[in-house]
Amino acid sequence: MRLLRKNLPFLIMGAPGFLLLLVFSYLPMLGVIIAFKNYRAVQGIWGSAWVGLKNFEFLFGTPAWQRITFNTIFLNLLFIVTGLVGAIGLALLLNEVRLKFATRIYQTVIFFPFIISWVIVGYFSFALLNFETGLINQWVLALGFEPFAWYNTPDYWPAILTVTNLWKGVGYGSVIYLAAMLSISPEYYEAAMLDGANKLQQIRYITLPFLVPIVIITTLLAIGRIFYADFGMFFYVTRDSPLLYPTTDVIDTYVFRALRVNADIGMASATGLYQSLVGFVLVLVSNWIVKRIDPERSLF
Amino acid sequence: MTLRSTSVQPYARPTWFARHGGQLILHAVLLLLTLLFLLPLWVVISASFTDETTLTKAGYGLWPAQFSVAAYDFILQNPTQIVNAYGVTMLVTVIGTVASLFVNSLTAYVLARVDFTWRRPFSFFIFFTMLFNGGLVPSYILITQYLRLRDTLWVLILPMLVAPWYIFLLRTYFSTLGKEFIESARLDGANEWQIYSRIVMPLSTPALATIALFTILGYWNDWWLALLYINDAALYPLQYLLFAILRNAEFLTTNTNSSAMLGSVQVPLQTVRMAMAVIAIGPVAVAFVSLQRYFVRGLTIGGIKGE
Amino acid sequence: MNKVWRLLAVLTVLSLFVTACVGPAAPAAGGGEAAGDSSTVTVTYTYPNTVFKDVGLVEEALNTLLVPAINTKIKLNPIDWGAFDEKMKLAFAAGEECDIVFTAPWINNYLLNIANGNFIPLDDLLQQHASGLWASMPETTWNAARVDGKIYGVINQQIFVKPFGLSVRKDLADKYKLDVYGLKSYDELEPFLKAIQENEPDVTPLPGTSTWSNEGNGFDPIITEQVSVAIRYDDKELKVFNTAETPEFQASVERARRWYEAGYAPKETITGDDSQAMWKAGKFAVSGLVGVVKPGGEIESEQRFGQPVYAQSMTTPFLTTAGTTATTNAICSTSKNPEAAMKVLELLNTNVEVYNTLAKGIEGKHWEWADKGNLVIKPGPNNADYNPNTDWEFGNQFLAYYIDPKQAEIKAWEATYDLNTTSPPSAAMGFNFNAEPVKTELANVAAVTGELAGPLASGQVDPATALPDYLERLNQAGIQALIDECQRQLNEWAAKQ
Repeated sequence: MRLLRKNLPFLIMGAPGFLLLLVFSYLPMLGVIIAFKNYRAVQGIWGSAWVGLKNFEFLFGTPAWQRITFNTIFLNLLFIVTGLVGAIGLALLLNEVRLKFATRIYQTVIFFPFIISWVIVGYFSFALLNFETGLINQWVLALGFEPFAWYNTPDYWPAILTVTNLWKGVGYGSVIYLAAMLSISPEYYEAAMLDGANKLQQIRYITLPFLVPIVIITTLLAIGRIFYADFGMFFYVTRDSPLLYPTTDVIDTYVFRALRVNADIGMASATGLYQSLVGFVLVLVSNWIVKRIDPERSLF
Repeated sequence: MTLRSTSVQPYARPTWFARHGGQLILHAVLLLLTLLFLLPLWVVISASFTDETTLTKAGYGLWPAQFSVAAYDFILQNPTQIVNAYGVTMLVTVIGTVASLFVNSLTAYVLARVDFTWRRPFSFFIFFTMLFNGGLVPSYILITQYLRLRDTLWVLILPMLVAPWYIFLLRTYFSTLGKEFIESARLDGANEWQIYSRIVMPLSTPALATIALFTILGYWNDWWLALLYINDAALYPLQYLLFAILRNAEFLTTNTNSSAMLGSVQVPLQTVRMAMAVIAIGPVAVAFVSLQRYFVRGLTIGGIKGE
Repeated sequence: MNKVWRLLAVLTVLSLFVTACVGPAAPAAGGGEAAGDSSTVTVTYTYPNTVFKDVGLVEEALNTLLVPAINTKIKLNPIDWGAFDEKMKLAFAAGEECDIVFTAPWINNYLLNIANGNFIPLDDLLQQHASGLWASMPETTWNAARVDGKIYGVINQQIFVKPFGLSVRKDLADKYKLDVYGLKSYDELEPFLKAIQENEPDVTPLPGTSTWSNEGNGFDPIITEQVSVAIRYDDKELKVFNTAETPEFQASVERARRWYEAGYAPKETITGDDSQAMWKAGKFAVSGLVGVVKPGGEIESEQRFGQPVYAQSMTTPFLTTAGTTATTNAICSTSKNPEAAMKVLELLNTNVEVYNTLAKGIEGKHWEWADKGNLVIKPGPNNADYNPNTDWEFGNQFLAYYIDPKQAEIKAWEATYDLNTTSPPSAAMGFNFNAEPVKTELANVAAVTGELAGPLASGQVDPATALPDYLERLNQAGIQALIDECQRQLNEWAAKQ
């Protein structure tokens, strides 16, 4: 009882958040049972027939399963790593600029791509890459070379997608890390300079350690979503060109294609459940590892 | 770190380059980066002002081969619709951002306080929702039948109000603020509300500004909620309206079933897409630039020290 | 200060929950001020379309026609094209109420909805309340809409068959002396394509090199267009096979590869809307190798794109289930007034005035007479406020007023009707496949087809290696199971005829 009284203010303050999540996120979760049923609207969720794991069969029964799983994990890992390096690097650069007004301009422009939807990014990349009228191919032609059919060649696309992902997200990422950097008291830097540390040493011993908690959180959260591909990017930027599937087909695009003919709600639900479970397990493992190193830094 | 012995050396005045060289290189790199980032945006703006047929023939370039505002004409042919949509979006964004910032920061504060006994379970409770979700159909049934939120402004605000991702970011930020402040405040007899409002919040302006910006963007850009739950054209938010205009135009243009058009609706499709992108992005620049002033170094810490 | 925060917090929580429970304001009535008494029922019509400004006015006009005739009001519920499919899926999944909905194989899928129990059978309703509609099409046509013996959709009459062929730019055809109307096969095009490529630097001969189509080769795809399982339309034995294994497919992909390597088409696939923009700008000599060539089609094409063309079909058209049910209106199982809904459908399919009010708008506002005697109209002053241009959605398209005097001259609607009735029906006409037993295989085969069929058909990959690979992948995905199940169901169905 005393425990309750001591924690009461916390419970009250947290109430709006907890309750809203309960209603909008947990209640619908009851519907995850659809993944195991042959859902028919007339019968409703409870009335539909139970089919066990049948809805998962189409995912594992296809030889493409290996390819889409590999692509999903590989590309997501690539994005996490490059995103981290890019965002922190950018934040470091921006932090050093002394001309405040210049910082604002740089930040604004670099941040912009984040707010653009993937559909439009698809138009951008089409404007740049397409064979007939694309900007890059026009320059290539002007220089005397043969234009290149980007949308027909799968090999370059992990790189293209990484660059696109960076372009869209690095501004966003850098804002987060920059905000963290700004809260580091200047005293630390002053003390370090008095002791004779140069810029790189300051970064290494002060700035980066301060960022560790945030980096851990963002990385853990990203790992939780590693089985989800950003459908918008993979569908719109590649223009759903079948020739690119070997390197760009991921779980989400495969399922979209497979269920276009079928629109089976049970199967779609099964896919979502599968992705969530894997991500969940991965996060539990990662979080446990972090806890072993430094309990304060773990997610939960 | 130890003190190095400093021997006296003749003082040579460093050259201008030596003093400013670092900054110069920095600016050069950032400028190049900025230009590269700007390139696609520039091409799109240029394309939106180009004549459709010329675009098809000559391709995308840095400058319109033939200037034309036909694309904008097409989108803005019904200006009341667009103005109305702007209004809806602004209302939703303002209310949503304020409420969301409030709820998210409160929750993050609670999770950051070491004294909260059930910190870990509640963190897990929040985190779990990021991984699992029940799917579209159960959410749809909940919102339309049980909560009956269809065709209201609230359906555009509530589902996005609580954002676990931001809660965790804020929680991390609050945790690093330094326990001494909170300890000394408690000793002074402050209750949790006072600590929250007088100490933690003012100290966190960079983080709050960041989250505010992301939240504004989230609300501003959303069209999915409108697609699912809004039938009433008077409640269309801006992004959904643009999406609908584009898809309707695309459909009319490509539909092979269509007979000849009555009243020749000539849709300059490619340029319309570009113009749509420009209209969608435009106003957010204002929000971003105005929030920039919170990203100034040393503002908060310095202030506290003075107290 | 903290009191204020606390108050705000409490208020936020309270207001959120209060508004959540109170629910939305009642939707505004959409007009319909025609007189009616307390027994007048209102029927909702949900369909995909741009939400035009004057929808309310059109609804009113419709009601002034409907109420005196059948004591029923209609409520128009157009939903944007981008949202319709998703919204209908969810609406049905949630068991929401509706009356008339638009449905087709390609949007708000007809068969899937029937399998889910979302539509009601219409046989009795048609007999009792829609005699005119019933009589307007032969029974063989109605059979196309039957699933398990019952009719679930009101077919909108328009062109049913797909006489696939091509359209060639008039000026270029004349210049290089290509007799389009005399073409019998695609191979005869080659000298023309070569000439264009060599002599016209600004013009690319083709937008794409695919000459493949099911109907063009006499195949009826009995599962769906996206899956290569079919029968020959005139095969009384109803033998099911994989079209990718046929010599016709092989010839088609080899030809596509030849043309692709010769450079007759752009290297990258061009999407539909971009392709049209380029056609309008005059970039291609041929607008498409596999397009529907219908009576009056040349006139329509010229009006839409500004390029005069010769269009010729090189295939024997035949009626398929999918083609006939391409545009349909159905009645929901959640409808409270199915009889009234059927009466409305009867009027939409037999009454010229009612149909055209919905399809074209109000006279004097959205359209005006250009030639009343020949039923030709032209745009009115407020045309932009209501201009659906989707005649095929609402009912019998042959009731529509002509938009161009040339259409009236060639009596386009009669000619199309004749084409429909004189074309032979496929042997599988009226058969609808039930995918339930082979859901998994269907999903996987669809994924494989989506990946490999396109590049093969358009010559972007070398068929020598890609075709065997495609067949192998199809087998792995389980296409044989699909074929067997299809054959089984087909035989069963045939036995019952």
